[in-house]
Amino acid sequence: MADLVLKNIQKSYGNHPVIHGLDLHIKSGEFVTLLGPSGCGKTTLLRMIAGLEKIDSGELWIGGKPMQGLPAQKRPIGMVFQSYALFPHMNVKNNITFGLKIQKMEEHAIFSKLDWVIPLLGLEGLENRLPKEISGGQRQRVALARALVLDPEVLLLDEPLSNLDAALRELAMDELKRIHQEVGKTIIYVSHNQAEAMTMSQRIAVLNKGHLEQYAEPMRLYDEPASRFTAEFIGSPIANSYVGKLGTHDGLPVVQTAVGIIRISDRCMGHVSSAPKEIRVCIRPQDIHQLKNQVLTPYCSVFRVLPSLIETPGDRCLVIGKTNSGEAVRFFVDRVHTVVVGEPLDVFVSAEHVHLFNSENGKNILGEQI
Amino acid sequence: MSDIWPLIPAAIYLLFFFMLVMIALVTLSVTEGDLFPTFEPLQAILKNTEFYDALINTLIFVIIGTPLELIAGLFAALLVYNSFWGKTFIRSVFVIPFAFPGLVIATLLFILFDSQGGFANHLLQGQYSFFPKVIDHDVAWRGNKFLALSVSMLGKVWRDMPISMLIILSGLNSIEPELIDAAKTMGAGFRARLTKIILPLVFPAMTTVLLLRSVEMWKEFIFPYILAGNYPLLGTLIEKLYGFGSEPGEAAVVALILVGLTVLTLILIVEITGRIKRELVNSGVNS
Repeated sequence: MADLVLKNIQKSYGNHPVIHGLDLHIKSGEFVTLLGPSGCGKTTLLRMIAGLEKIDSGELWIGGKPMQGLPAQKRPIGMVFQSYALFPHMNVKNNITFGLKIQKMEEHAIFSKLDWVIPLLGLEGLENRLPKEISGGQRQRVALARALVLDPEVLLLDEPLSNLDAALRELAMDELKRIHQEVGKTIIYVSHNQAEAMTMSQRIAVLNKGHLEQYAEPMRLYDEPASRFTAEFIGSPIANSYVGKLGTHDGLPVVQTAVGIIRISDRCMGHVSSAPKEIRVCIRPQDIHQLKNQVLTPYCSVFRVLPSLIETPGDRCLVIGKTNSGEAVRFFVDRVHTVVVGEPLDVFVSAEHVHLFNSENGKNILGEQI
Repeated sequence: MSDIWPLIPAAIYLLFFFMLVMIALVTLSVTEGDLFPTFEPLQAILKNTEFYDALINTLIFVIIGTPLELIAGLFAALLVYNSFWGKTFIRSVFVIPFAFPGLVIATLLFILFDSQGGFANHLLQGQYSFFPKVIDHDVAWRGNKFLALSVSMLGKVWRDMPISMLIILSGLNSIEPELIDAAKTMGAGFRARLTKIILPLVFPAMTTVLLLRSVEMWKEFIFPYILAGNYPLLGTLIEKLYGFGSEPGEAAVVALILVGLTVLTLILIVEITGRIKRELVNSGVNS
């Protein structure tokens, strides 16, 4: 079992703290992504796990063994760097076998490793090429092969797809998922790209300014964001966000916003009296629908929007409009629907898709566990 | 045709500072008084035992001095490359010798290694409390071929080492830190990182040092001139023949031989380093 446990990890550069007492438990064989914007501390955290950065305080355990004080070369990890960091003076084969030769592995064992990893990553025919003679995608696969042959307990991937073009990135994501399924290694993947994280990971640790915002399965992050940051960071385009006040309307829990009165989940009823005066309401554009002939439940709220911009990225249209009060609303409509700029239309949202956050600390008022 | 114009200054430079000089040198080497052309200067040089002595002395200078300067530069660069407190100070100390003209350093060494008295003799005779007594009598530093050439070679290496250091340091600084990190995560300790990653990657810079410093060693003049006057190198022999001996033809022949040997050395270094580089790329599992 190669569980990876981080307990109260702290890190500062000078007087500037970058990781604030972070706890994380990654199960053996799990594919976990450290997700967050640039500067949130995700790469620093990965480098601390690798032993390339010193941990100021806290504990790091891999496979039940403490890692503090252990240099990178003694840790049971393999790492793929953002730049791939292939040794430019070695051909593909020597890059892959470098770590094995350091371990003084016998030549026949090295050959078996090569025979296993080269077809696994589709590197046939590239063995004698130098890194400068292969493409970006191939370099990324060589870097992965180089880490995999070491049979590490934990594989650390630092934004390995960020240098690839969009089409190649999608292929590489499928490849990574396939390889994870085949080799079953614990993988910690660092990314600022939420689409990558949502596609590949079993769990995602959302980081913001050195704090862990939420650690959960991708769908849970999407459906039940524990903080306003997670709600806005996960999902594209960015969620609609309004200031509101909790209250009741006809005995039912609602939130009063500039957009209008929005019906919220019955689960919020208990928070109505205790909730802070001002809260933040987030609604994903995907959860706002155009009102046509649907039969609405009492949990739906309707408001009128004046479309000002329509974007058509592909299968559906993103409509950006404004309510009577001037609040911006983003939502999707099917391509077949006719939405005209300047012609008002009604939209609705269901109570279960209305996320409410404390205005001061940004936490979900329902207290979703992180 | 318009592409040629930017090359004109370089062409003029080559014409005046290389081609014309070479033509004058070749002409001089086949001139003996009013005789032209003649092989008399060449024949005289080939019969001159001092020439062979100078050739061997210079060869020793090149064979030992060039790698010595490379190694000194490499160690200094590796020391300065690693982060530690006082790094800037150490780097400045290493560069100081280069701030002074060679003549000044050579004269300084002349005084330090004076055959009668002198700091080196006093030091070895135990006159300073921090150093044990090694010898009883003064050593004639300039009266012995081995010592005279050794002191001038060490002086040369010490004074010019900053060039090697800075060239290698720039090579070291161009290595992406992620390459070193990657080697660490693959289990490479300091020695493996140095021999398998750092040195191969800094190899082009080391080649540059070898090329530049071998030329410098072949044509060295000032250190042996001041510190080993009785044991000529090809550089000092040219001066001796031209100045004191009034044999410009013979001096020109030695100069031409020096140019030839320098070019030959450069070709040899390029060939050898090229092979090492190919070996580095292909070394590993043979399949």
